[in-house]
Amino acid sequence: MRIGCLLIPHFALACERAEQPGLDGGAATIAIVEERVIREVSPAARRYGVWPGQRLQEAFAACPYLVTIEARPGHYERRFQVILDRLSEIAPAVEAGWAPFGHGIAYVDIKGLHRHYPDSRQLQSRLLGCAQSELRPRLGVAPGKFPAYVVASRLKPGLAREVEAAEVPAMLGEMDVDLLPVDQRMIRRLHQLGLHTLGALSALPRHSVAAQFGPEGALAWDLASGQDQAAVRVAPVEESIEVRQAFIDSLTSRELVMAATEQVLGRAFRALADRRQAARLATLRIDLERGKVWQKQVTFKEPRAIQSAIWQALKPVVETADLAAPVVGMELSLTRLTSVIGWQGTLWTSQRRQRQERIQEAMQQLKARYGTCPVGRIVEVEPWSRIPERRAAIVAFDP
Amino acid sequence: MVSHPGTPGGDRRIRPLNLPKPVGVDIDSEGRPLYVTLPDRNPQMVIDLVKSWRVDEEWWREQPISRIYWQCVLDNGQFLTIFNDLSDGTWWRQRA
Repeated sequence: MRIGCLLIPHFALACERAEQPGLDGGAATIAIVEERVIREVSPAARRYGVWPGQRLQEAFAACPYLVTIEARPGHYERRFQVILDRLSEIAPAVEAGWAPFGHGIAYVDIKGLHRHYPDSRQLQSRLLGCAQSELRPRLGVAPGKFPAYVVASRLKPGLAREVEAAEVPAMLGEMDVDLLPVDQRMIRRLHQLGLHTLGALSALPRHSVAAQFGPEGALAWDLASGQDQAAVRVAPVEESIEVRQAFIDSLTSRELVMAATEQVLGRAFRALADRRQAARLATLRIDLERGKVWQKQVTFKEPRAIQSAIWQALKPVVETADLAAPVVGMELSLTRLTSVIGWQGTLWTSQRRQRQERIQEAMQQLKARYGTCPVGRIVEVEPWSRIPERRAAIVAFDP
Repeated sequence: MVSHPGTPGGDRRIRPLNLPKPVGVDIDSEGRPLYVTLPDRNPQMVIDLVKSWRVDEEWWREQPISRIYWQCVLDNGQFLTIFNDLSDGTWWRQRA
């Protein structure tokens, strides 16, 4: 088993530093803040006593020169997804070990890749190149996920190193127990017991550690001894219908967001209807300004294959959504797709329905003729606005 | 997954209504409109200024909105609303 670990320490911070070169430099005291709580801090700020989870007020008391940046979790997630996609082009098995605030870690199973890359340095260079150099990635290759992570964490930015199985115990022995992926309380207790290194932990009998700390202790002992057999877990690919929409002019009113959601749903529904399938789950993700994200999942009691039925479930969710900033994009995914078993049509269709169907058909003909549908629907956006062009908008009628 | 259609989204799908249109305006020493020139038309004299109001919005943004609106009557009898964009001095007409 050969596993590569691509590590980007303090991923959120690395993203901000990559985009704002002025923040660069080891001595900069920087903190990423979300809702007045510190989420991520630079090593320099940590030395002043600023920690994730601290309130902003406390952080400023500890470090008056702290530079604060508003967190953009959606932006960080997208950037990390790009790295994962690039890695997936090289190796079939890629696992993300990532949270919005923390280290950006991606495990890659490189078994068998030597046929394509006879020179291992060439493969390492390609894997390392999946992340922008400004993010300061490093790559560790070892016979397990944990040893690969440990190797990567010891490297300087932009470097890669491969460790053979025989070297692993000696390398792990001198490492700090803080690297173990276990609860912080356990790490604290290990330090209290004088077990500061992985070597000290693995020198103890396994059953003693397990008796003291339970299953987590047994796991820690296994990892400290270099016995990590965990395979790279690839997230299952689920069949889904995804529709994205970006707004160049951000949407600032609820009415416009509702209209946009309905439009996005219309596009997703057409794909669903083409497949003659029904969806059980709808996930609406709304991208807000400054990289913020609002997301909600709506599970239907029964699979839904009618647009109005899906909209009926989504509408109250959008109406009550707590959108803290103007909307710049939207993504709707319909998942848990099932086939439609039975369909109970109505015997008599109402006049209104017939009229809607005729309009729909006319719109489709216009679209077929001109490429785009030239008909729009006027939606009140901010009828109270003092700026006339903000009061209403034309939403394209998309049949 | 449905592939991206390749066509740009956004602006084409949701467009603001009643966007201002450029207009030529000659002003007096106090900044009040004297003559209004609509596209492809001769200049028309302003015979009456019905009312005027100022709009200052989004001053916290990079591009704040600051306008002085004038409702005026031209000598051909046309009733028109125009505004002076104070950020760049340009003149526009718009239904208000």
